[in-house]
Amino acid sequence: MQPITDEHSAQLWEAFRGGEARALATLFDGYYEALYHYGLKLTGDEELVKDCIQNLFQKLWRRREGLRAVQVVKAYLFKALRRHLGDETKLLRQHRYLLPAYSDSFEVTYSHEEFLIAQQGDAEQQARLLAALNRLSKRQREALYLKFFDGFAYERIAEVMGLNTQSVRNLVFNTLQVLRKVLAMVVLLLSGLAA
Amino acid sequence: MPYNDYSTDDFLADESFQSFVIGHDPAAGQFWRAWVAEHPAKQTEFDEAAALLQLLATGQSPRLPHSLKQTEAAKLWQAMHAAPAPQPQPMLRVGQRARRWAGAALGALALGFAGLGLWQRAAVAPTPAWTSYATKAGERRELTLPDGSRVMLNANSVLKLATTWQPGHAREVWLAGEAFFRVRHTAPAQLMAVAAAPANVKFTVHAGPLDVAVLGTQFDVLNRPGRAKVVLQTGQVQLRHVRPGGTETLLLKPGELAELRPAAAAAPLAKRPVDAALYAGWTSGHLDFADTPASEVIALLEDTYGLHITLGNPALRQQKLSGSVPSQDLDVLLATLAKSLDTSVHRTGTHVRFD
Repeated sequence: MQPITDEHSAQLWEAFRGGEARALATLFDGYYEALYHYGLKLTGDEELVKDCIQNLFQKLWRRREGLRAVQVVKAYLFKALRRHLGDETKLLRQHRYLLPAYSDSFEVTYSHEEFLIAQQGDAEQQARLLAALNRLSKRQREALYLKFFDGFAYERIAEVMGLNTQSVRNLVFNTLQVLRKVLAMVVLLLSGLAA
Repeated sequence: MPYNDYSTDDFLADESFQSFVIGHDPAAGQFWRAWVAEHPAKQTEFDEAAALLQLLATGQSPRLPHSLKQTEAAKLWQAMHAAPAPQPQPMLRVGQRARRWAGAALGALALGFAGLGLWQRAAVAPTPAWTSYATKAGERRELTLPDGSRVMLNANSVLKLATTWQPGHAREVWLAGEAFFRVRHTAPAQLMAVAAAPANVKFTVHAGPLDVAVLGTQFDVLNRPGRAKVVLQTGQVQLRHVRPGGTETLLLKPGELAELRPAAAAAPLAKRPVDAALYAGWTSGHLDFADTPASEVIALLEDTYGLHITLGNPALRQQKLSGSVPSQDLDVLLATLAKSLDTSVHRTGTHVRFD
């Protein structure tokens, strides 16, 4: 399936606000997979993610008349899903475990299948990269995910995570520097691949 | 060009360079490939940055089962075609007296709200000229049939019948969804027992697995996926259920409900007494409660919507509620109930929690 361009999704968004059910269904179709993987990264709970995405779109439909125009629909949806999941996990924590609730305490954990290194490097290189990634702060991991898995611009990552753009820029840059140092060895070994 | 001074870190931080390596932006790809070809002095920094970013680029995201997305898309589509426009939120009064509620177990109330799923189409329809009446989500429609009988068709329902009815012939309609019937008695006045009446004076509603035959009565029929139900207000109703083991019949008296859940196919057609007026509440567009225990309202919502409802404080089940709520919007109903019980309501899919 062709990914939906930002222009196309903005048009679909307008059509959907005007009451066109098919337009919202197309957006659902276009972004479901990305939303699902992102939600799963944040919570690790398949059922919860499925329900939250479903609720999110049903709610959008019911409240379509009160919605405003958005520039980048994908970022809007990611942000909304993140908020939904935050509310849910907060509630779950409050009720199941009586732990303090932080809607921001998502854990993005990386596994080696997700990176090209799995197909390129040897076991030691994989272990180094994963260890480095999983030592990053939660925010760094999430920003990195949004950047490299979903291709969001800094400005959109800021929107999704509720930070300002400069903070995201710094966050991603610092992350890349950390990784660069940790992976100096790996990078040397693999530098031939970039050409 | 500032790029001439770029260090490895500068390349790493550059969004356009990142897009090029990740492969999200073909235009950036073209630009950077051309650029590095013209600036061989920067090849080392360029390669180093590209190598690191490439390590981070997506490998294989696990594929989502196709059926999951399809199921979820269908669910959304259904909900979109069922959800009526939001309405101002009403409020129920909370009764202080622990008066005993008069009605028997409400059980599965046939509220027939919109959005219960795609109803099954009626079984094979005969060929002559047909007339269909259909309602959309949130719509109710009152019809007069050729014999003068009146029908209130609930939301998301279809009623089908032959365009012309010959006087003195059997009257038949096919229903998917829910409808309330007020059927004219056309048999000689002394003929009251439907079981003994000839076919040509009967009025039959074909509702999926059930045939509902009457002479002249008022009754509610629901035929939606997974459930078929009949509630009789006045008169007499004869039910026929054709199933693999043979045909079973059941006679209903006023104030009785018969329900069939194909999921429990082996279970016989069973009936129980209910407050029939409450079941017809939807025909007026609102549900009226009079000192109705919250437990009954909860049972009603669970059965009608297939919800699973839990209460943080079980004592709230005893709370009596009075008042009137629009019957077309589940969210409004849940919110109203929460407000009346002074709790918050939390819904995830079919799970609802009042805390």
